[in-house]
Amino acid sequence: MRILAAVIFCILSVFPSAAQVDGATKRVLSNVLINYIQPRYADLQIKSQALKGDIAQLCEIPSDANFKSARLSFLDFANSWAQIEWFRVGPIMSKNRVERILFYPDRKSTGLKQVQRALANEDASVTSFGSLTQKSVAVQGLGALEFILFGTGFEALKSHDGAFRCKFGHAVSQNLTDISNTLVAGWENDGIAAKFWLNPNDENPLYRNDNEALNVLIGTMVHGLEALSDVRIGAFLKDEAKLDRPKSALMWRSENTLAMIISGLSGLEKLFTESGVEQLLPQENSALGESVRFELNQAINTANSIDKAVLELIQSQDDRQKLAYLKLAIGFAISRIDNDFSQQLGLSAGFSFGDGD
Amino acid sequence: MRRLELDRRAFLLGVGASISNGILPRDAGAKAFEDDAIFASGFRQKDGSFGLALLSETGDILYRHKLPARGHGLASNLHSQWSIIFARRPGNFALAFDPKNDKEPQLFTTPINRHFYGHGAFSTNGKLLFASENNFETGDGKIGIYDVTDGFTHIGEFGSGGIGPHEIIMLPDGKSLCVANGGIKTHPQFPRTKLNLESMRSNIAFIDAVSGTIKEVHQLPATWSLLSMRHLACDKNGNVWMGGQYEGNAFDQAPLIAKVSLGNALEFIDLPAKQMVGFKNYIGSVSINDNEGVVALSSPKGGQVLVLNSNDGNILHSYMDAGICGLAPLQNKFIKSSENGRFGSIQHQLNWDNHIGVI
Repeated sequence: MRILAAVIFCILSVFPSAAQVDGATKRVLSNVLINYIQPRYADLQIKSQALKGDIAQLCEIPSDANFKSARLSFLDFANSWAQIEWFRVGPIMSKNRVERILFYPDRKSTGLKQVQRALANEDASVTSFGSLTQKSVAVQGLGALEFILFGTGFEALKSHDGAFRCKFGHAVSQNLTDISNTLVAGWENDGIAAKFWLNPNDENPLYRNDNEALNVLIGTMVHGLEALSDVRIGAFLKDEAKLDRPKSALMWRSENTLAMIISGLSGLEKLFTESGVEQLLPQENSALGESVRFELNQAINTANSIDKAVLELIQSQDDRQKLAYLKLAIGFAISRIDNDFSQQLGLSAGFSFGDGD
Repeated sequence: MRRLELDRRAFLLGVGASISNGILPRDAGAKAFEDDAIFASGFRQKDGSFGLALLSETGDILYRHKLPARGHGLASNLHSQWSIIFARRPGNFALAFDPKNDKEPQLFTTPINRHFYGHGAFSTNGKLLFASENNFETGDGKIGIYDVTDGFTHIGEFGSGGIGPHEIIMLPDGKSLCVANGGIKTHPQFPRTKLNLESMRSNIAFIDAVSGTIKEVHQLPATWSLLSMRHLACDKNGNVWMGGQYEGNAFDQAPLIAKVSLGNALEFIDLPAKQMVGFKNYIGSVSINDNEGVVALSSPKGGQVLVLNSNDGNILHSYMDAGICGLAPLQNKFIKSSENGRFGSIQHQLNWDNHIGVI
């Protein structure tokens, strides 16, 4: 970390500010910062504050109405997170913030077991923000909060019987708010993250030139789409209906599985469109941008057509087929971006978007 | 369990089909093949299919063989006619091939509930093959043991000393294995997802190759808990050089290079900022050239190869080429390959995987 501090010192002294960026690629990077990163994290911050406020209100005055508000705020925050969760650059990648917001997949239900144990034992350490952040990441974020609001025993939250459960939920919401605040602050215009993001050069650990910068941007889209298909859908949809695992789906209790996928796709479409990266295409292939958007929208439309609870969805052969088509549609979008679009940008045709070994 | 057995049967059927149909015709130069083939590497073709190639020292392809999926690390031994290419994780196949082409290739697989992590090493006499594997139900790293003399039958396993074992090498003493436990837990249900980044911890383990006893484990410091040591090479003095991959914030500059030996602590190698940036927090291959007393480390993400003096760790020179990763000693230097198709001085219409095997 001392090395990082030294590098940052050098870089801050030689990097131009956000206002000075120029060049086509830098304009794209600037667009991403201004039109995607900052607004998405700002939205997350707003949703986190609403969530924290609504859970505080529920704890103070338990009622059916306040309970419903808390649930809706949870869904709002979750879907806001889904719009930027695949952007894995900057402060989100420090201090396990990704996992502290959402620990998934959790194959052994480690988080669920810890949450259930904390509730059963009324473990006071999960009811204060300070002590919660010292515990396993699996009890700090959306997985825990979903169980609190939608899992077995949630009815208690409508009365003072659920006081402990509510305090646990409030501590989680404080944690989510704190992380959201950190992300917003971390991407302020003159901060380190923005300077690294906007300025490819030889001393920048993120990228040294335009091609590397575009690799990061395109790689974010490709990795995000792959994860939505392989992990988010693949977790519960198997080759045969009898092998499906609906309770492995993210947020099956809150019936928010498909909404998270839709938000994820929509977030990646925003990243693509708002970046203006298609403006870097050669004139003769400028329509390729529209083609990528078409594939992304096909996937979004397909997901929208089956926005139901996973437990219900997999009962229908017709819906299962649509899910399979959704995976296919995401695959088309990946292919269009990874093969066609990136090559037209002059990016490497190697394994560069794949993770390593 | 039943489902896994069915999956395995289906997999083997698929492999059988690919073997019977998939041997590609030899390229021109088949005669030269027997004398000149000295390197092997996995590749991807433009149509998305995968294969293994044997190459001459000039980088000419002498022979190709289709693979069912992407191959990764290779293993060879002076006393065995076989060389091996292992599936990239989470694949469960390996292909044994005879560089002299006297025997048909043999495809073998891991036991149920295991998959390869892409690397392996022969015993000194060439009769056993050790492979880094994942017990994916528990997440424990395993070293699978295969009998080379009996059709690569799986005859046992021992613990790797950590999670996510990646490259495994036999030390010059012929008795000790060294394993880079990358620390990252994975499961085939989520093929490329890293399941434990919040708690991962990489180490280097030295293991008695006969008994499987862990001789030493060198844990990485907690400060760098997100650094995953993955690739290894041992010099003639018994120093194991390693290259890591960092899973944290790309803004950090993790110490990616270290060396360790039996009885001596792990020691990070300091690099100037420019070279650290050039690795992009990712080293994909490590190779030693003992003739010259040098170690080379490569990063396909940064397009950088760094060559160090293996006596003192000082930088001798660096080399930049987009997508470069594969490394192997050749006379007084290294031959290099890239995911963009270059192998040595020849540009192929292929993507080379990260490793070059010397056969």
